[in-house]
Amino acid sequence: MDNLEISPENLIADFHDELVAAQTPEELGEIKTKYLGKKSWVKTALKSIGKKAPEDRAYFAARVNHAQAQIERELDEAVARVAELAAAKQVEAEWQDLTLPGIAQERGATHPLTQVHKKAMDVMRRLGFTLAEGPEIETPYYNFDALNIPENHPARDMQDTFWLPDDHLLRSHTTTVQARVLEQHPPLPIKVVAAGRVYRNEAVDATHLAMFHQFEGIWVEEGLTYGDLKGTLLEIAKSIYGEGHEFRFKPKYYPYTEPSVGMDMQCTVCFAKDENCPACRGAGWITILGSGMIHPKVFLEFGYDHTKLSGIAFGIGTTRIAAQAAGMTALKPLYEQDLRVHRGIHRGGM
Amino acid sequence: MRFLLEHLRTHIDMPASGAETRELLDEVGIEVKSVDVTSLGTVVNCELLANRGDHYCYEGVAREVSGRTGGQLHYKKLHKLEVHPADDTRVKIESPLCLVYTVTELSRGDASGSLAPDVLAPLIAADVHSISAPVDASNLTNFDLGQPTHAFDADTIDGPITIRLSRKGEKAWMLFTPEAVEIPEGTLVIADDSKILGIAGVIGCVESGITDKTTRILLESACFDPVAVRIASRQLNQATDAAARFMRGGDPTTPLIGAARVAYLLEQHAGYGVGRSYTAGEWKNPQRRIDVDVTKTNRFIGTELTPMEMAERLTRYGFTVEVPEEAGAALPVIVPPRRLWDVHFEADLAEELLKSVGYNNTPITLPHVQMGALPSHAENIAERVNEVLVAEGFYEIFTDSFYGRSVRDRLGITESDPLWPHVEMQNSIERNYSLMRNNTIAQAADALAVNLNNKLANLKIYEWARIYLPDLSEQGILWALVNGRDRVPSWGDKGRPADAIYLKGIVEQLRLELRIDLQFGLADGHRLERFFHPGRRAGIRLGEKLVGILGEFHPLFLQRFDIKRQRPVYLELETDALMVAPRPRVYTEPPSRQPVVRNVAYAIPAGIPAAAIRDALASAAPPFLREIRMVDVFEIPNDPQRARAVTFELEYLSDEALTGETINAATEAMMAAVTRTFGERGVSLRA
Repeated sequence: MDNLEISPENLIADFHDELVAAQTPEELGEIKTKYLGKKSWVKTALKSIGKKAPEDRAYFAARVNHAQAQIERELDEAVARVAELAAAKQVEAEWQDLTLPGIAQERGATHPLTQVHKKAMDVMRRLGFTLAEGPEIETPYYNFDALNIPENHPARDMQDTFWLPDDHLLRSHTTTVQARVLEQHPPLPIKVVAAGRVYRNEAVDATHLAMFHQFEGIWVEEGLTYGDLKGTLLEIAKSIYGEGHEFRFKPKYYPYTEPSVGMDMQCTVCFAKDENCPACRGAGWITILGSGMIHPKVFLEFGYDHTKLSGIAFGIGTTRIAAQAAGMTALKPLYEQDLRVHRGIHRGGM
Repeated sequence: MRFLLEHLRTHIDMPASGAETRELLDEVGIEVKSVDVTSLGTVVNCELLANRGDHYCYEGVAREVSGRTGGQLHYKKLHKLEVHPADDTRVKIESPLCLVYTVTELSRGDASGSLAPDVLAPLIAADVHSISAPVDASNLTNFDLGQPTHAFDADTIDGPITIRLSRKGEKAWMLFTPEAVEIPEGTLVIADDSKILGIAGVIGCVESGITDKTTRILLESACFDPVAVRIASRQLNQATDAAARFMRGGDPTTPLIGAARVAYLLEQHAGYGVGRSYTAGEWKNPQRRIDVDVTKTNRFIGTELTPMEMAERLTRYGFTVEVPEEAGAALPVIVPPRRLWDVHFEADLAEELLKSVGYNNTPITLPHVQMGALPSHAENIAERVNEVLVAEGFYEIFTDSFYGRSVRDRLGITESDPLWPHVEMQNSIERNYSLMRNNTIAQAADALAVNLNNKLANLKIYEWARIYLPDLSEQGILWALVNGRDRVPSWGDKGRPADAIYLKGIVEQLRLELRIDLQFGLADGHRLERFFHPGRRAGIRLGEKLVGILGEFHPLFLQRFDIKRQRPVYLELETDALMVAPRPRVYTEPPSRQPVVRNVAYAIPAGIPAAAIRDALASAAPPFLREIRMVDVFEIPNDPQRARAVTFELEYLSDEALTGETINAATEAMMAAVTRTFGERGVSLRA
């Protein structure tokens, strides 16, 4: 392409022919080298300008510059066009069927009971409570006697007990941990939560289990009142169930509290409007926890002055709450190993 | 207990509707299970508080309602009894467990009447069948007033009635039982000179029971020690209405009232004659007085009651209160005899006042909290372990803490095996709960079997569990079971087999997350070792201590659990091992130079661990060797030594510039170490 006899106009014509035929970035690259490269006619012509007769020099330079500019501009346009074409082809060739299921490592899930426990612990920690642990194999003292449930008291019938060798038993409530904590006389205020498995020697059916989970707490300090108990319980209930529920309190009997208090939540199925509601059996309310002010006999048992101290105690059946939260009417599936149940709960949006 | 609302209204005014009645009873602590409209009227089924024997009757419920509403109690009509002290020829009390004892003479004469159906309605509503006029009147009185009574055929009684403890070998033929049975020695009984007439507070006996031929009745109305009644009821397996009442503490001041009511009913409705009443024993316990600090009590329950208002409210429940004239003085409260069993402290009276005011009618407060608490180390660890496992697709489950003997049998162990002894349940009503578990592998295998039956072969589960050891101690463990693929297979990713190597990777992730020095080694000595495939198991150590095991289950173990064509792997770690203090974090600056990498591959015959080759390479490593990684492994096809080809990646890094000659020389030296150590055992360099 060093034949300077070729006119810039002819060069442009040839360039156009080749440009139209080019379909790939590689072909465009070759054209660019041919028409704008070091050995191209344009570069050679530019170098030759000084050798032209003075009267032709300006005219020739203008024609060469014009040709170079035109080639550059049209090449840029062609590059963009070819890139667009290439992208369009690629896109067309690379269609992916996104109706297929996504692929990622499937996450598992903690158990619904663990999730309820976590929610409850979150609020308890905000109130300054810490978690305490205790054995499941217990002595009658911590399970009964220390908690104002003496031998031959009808209250022992409330909890059918699994008895083990050497006068041991399986704890029938996590209140045993509270007894052990009180026995240690930690500094006031005492704010402790105990949680875990408890056992009742009952015939098992859909709603009665021989093993289930409880979550209990005690708060011992001077000056705690029944109003404080209600305030604390409402905080806990709201943290578990969320805002917008109706709650009420009613008298109950627990040997280790006086007064003893039950806490009900308005039925979330019928909102107390259906006498035939299967969830609340027409009561309109569902009991969600038991509580009370710590009984003077419990304080006396562990050497505390019940005339000066008072204490809040409460217990939640986390198994029932977990089942409610998962939308289950039976409790037993929570303790089964059928992964269909657990995946169903998890994917059901607990 | 099932109450007939229309009859309850004869004791106290009640709301018009069943729904309002339900709400009121719930408010006073008498939990309503159901309200049913029947042909008799509205039947309210209640669950009564376990400590309140006085609630086990209409008047008790009415009194509780009165405490809340202030409504007046309507008392039942009584016969005016002619009462005389009983001498030893009539009644002898030989045990202090009998608190009060009365007998009243009744005669049938020509009367053959029975109580009218409308009178019997409360019994029918409670599913109690009509038997005879005296029995029905006795039952009605217990329902109305909470005073159990019992009718003896006076002509069958031989000598004075004696309340005493039973003697060794003594028998009694209790009503509604087929034959006489031996009564435990020391049981409180009612007896005459020749036989036992009844078990005190529990049940009467056949030989002294009334029949159609009975003309003269001795009506017993008494009060007994609650514990004595409870023990007798339990030992003899007799859960009667009378026992339910007495074991919760009877009212020692009402036996004559009960007798008078029975006498009234029989006289008025069945034509019986009423003779004299005789009383033996006397309620001698001093009155219980509790001084109530009005200010403190108001603060405790959130009220602003004046001493007068407090007194008035307590009086509704039967307490006797005299308001002192001195301002600020404690309020002296006398406990009625029927409440001596459950009212001991100021807090008990606070509860009465709270019921009277309404549990929902006091302010709600929240005590001042200075600061919250942080999760414990153990809670943090559990949370992080959960996160690692859940991210890997594991589901947390809870299994029972116990199982049946058949599960132990399936483990295939004998009495000499350390796993044989279990903590044995003494009284389980379910066979499946006879042993406290001392391992979780059996339940893990069962969990797999359940899911295989449901066509779920890909399984990743874990549990924070406790095992229970024969010395009654407990040990926390974390176990996990994996079967199938390492990820849920999809159309585009089938994963790889979830084998012991996968499970090892999980432990490595835990080790990294928790920054604890868990190491892998031999599983020798682990209590579960024999349940694992000998060539596919590893022990997990923390320092010198064996704290866990992982591996593939032994084929024989799987056979025992009827698991076929599956290769599940199982991991167990002592939770204490996870709770140790973590290594401190150490930050290392990224190197300024790029590392240099060389790969060497060896054919390693079966039985020689790859780690041994790695260690041999490391033994001759220069100081600038940074890491040896195993980056590829594959089985060499048809190799007579069943060798694997393992590629080791050697990474060199130095602050000084490393020349190719230096690195090659170092690599050669390390390879020579392998040849020296393992060459004769068939380990060879691959091209």
